[in-house]
Formats: sequence, C-alpha cells, structure tokens
Amino acid sequence: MFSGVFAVTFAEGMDDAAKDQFVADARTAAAAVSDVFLADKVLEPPMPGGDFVCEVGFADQAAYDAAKGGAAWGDLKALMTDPSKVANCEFLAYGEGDLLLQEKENSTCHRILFFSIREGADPAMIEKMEAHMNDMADHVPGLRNCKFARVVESEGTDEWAYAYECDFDEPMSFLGKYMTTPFHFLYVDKFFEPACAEWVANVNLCTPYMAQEKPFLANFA
Amino acid sequence: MKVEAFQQPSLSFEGGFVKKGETMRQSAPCLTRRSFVAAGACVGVASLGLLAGCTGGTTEASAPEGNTEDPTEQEANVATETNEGLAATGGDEVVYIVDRLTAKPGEGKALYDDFMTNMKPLMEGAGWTFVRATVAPAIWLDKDSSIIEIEWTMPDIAQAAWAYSSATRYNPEYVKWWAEVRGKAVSVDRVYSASESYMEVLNNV
Repeated sequence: MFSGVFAVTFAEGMDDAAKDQFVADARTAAAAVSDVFLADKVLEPPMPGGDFVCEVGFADQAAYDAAKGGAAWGDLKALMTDPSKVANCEFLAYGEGDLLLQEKENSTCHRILFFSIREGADPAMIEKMEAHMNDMADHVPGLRNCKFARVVESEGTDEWAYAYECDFDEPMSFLGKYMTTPFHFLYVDKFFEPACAEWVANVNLCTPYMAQEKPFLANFA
Repeated sequence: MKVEAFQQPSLSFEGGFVKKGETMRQSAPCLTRRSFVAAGACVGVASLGLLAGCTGGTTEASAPEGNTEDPTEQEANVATETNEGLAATGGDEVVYIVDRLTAKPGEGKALYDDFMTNMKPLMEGAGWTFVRATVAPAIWLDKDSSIIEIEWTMPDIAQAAWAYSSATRYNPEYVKWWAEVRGKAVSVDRVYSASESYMEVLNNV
C-alpha cells in the first residue's frame, strides 16, 4: 500500500462545529480520491503533527501518482491547506517499507510517527534504526501491525524522512505497554536522543494517533 | 476495502478509560501520551505494573502506613528514598544512566568544565538526579584522551523516563549542546542500565 498523509493543525478560531464540518468535508473529499482512507481528529490534541489526520491509501505508487493528477486530489489538498480553516499542514507520502501484518480485522487505534533525519547523522546508525524499528512488535503484544517506510514526498515545516505506522488493538496498548516496555525507552528511543551515539532523528517528530474500526495497514493485503 | 470512519466506535474499557455507553471521543482518557511527559500528572498510577497492565512488579518502595501525603509528593519522596536507600542498603530499583564523553587529547579538562558548567545545571533543572562525575584516568592528560563519565539515576521508565527526556529533548539549548559537543569530542554516548533483578520488574509487561 502507498499512503498520502495530511497532518493538519486547525486555524485559530475554529470551534467544535467548524472542526466537525472540516472532518465531514475531508471524508467526502478523501472518498472521492480512494475507497481506502482515514480522516478524523486525533485522540489527543494538540500534539506535534496537529489536530487532525487524513490518510489516503493506494494499491501502489503508480495508483497514487495517477490520483495526484486528478481533480479530486486537488480538491482534497485544497481543503487540507485552506488558510481559513488550517494553520499548518504537514504532508508525507510513502510506500511499502517493512510491513509486519498480524491482524486484518480488529484494531481501534491507528498511529503515524513521522520524523526527519538530523544533519550529520551516522549512516550506520540510520541503517541500524531501519533494521530494528519493527522489532517493537516483539515487545508489545497489542501492536498488531506496523510499517516502517521511507518518505518519498514531503511538504511542510521539515523534510520528513521516515514514517512508522502502527495499528494497535486498542489505544491502551499504545499509551501503556508501548510506552513502558524497556525496549522502547532503553533501546529504540536512543535513535531519538541527542546524548546517545545512536542519535539520528530530529526532535520535532510528529506522532498523531486516532480511532479506527479496522486495521488500516491491512488494506490491500 | 473501504474503511468506514463515519461512525465513531463505541468502546468500553475496564478502569474507566471510556465510560460505558460513551464513545472514545466523549470520554476524557485518564491516561494520555502527554501524561508520560509530565511527571506525576497521572495521579494514582503507583506502579509500573499497574500502568503497563501487568499483575506484578513495582518500581517504588511502599509508602509508610498512615502517610497522608499527596501522591505526587509521595512519588518524589520515594524517588529520594530510592536513591538514599541505594547508598544505604544496596537496593537498586533504579535505572542507571551514564553519559560518556571521550575527549580529544589534552582537552579533557575543557570538556569536563563545559559539561559541568553548561549541561549539568540544565539537566538538573529538568529534574534529573545527578550521582557523580568521574574522569579516567584520574589525571589530566596532555597527549591522550580523558574519558568523562557523568552518572544519573532514574526511578522508572514508565513516567520518569519520558518526563526526563521531554524536559530536556525539547529544550533547544540541550539539543544544540549535544550536537556541538560531537565536534569537540572523540565520541559521546549515553548508556542506560539496570540490575538483573530490576530487569525482572521492568520487563514484566
């Protein structure tokens, strides 16, 4: 699956009714692009990465490229960047990457971590990070599906480099075991900590998470 | 396959995360990702085991009976007691953190002073618990590298770890110092460790 993700921060002054309307309009616009999409407010605003996420899924990059040339994609992008409703929009598009798929039916929490690579990062450490990010699933039973992919298109406040996308069985698996397993803070987080030799990721990472009814990563599987 | 996202799922969790009959969005979660970055924000989470949803293990000594202190004060006091207890009894339910700086030949003292003057106060101000700073070998070298190790302790990885890291990592001065020191030193690294017995607790998730 190839994904295009918009992470939106609402404009100041958007009340709840306006935000709900934005969500409804986004779903209509996304549905015109692809049958496979998620569009909703995040579960914990404000977070780095904004208040709202729209992810649109495609069978492959060729399908994404074809959609990008269409009017429906233009309408979706126009909504995601409408200055009367949106203060900021981060966009990233990424493909297959390393996919771990264990669950095709049950998942109520979807999360996308995206980040850029710091200047001067050690290529060997980048390679090590690529090799081990999906190992999180070995230590968090509720992390049912995950995909670690290089970003191929990026727009916004930084040159986004990687996306780590997760389907959890429920939000508490993300907020609980995912955060407390030693493998996270004592091993994987070293790639994100400036004091560590493994440090490769800039600290302005974004990590929105949202509700879903089925595992998004199971689409096209 | 179309993913229907128009209807918010109605979920219930034990423990009141989502009240029965309410949707996930209507209930304010008692535990959020932000609570990991504010030490003591999640009142009532008294053990790593409870937070992680497991049945055993604790990172804290039990509070004395009859203690009516505020839970956040209890957590702070337990952290102090833990470190004091470490010295007195050899108990070791803490995570050890060592920042290891290898200086360029002849530059050990300058690197040591830079850290102690600029980084140590920043980290202590962010809540880090300083233990000691050592220099190896115990003589400043003109023609070879000194290895400077700064030791800290952290009471747990459930809340303290994320509170410690958030209080530093999002400070531009902290990031700038660690980025620049790489040009001044042969190498820098931070190592986290724990006793084997505490590993049993940490990994009981």
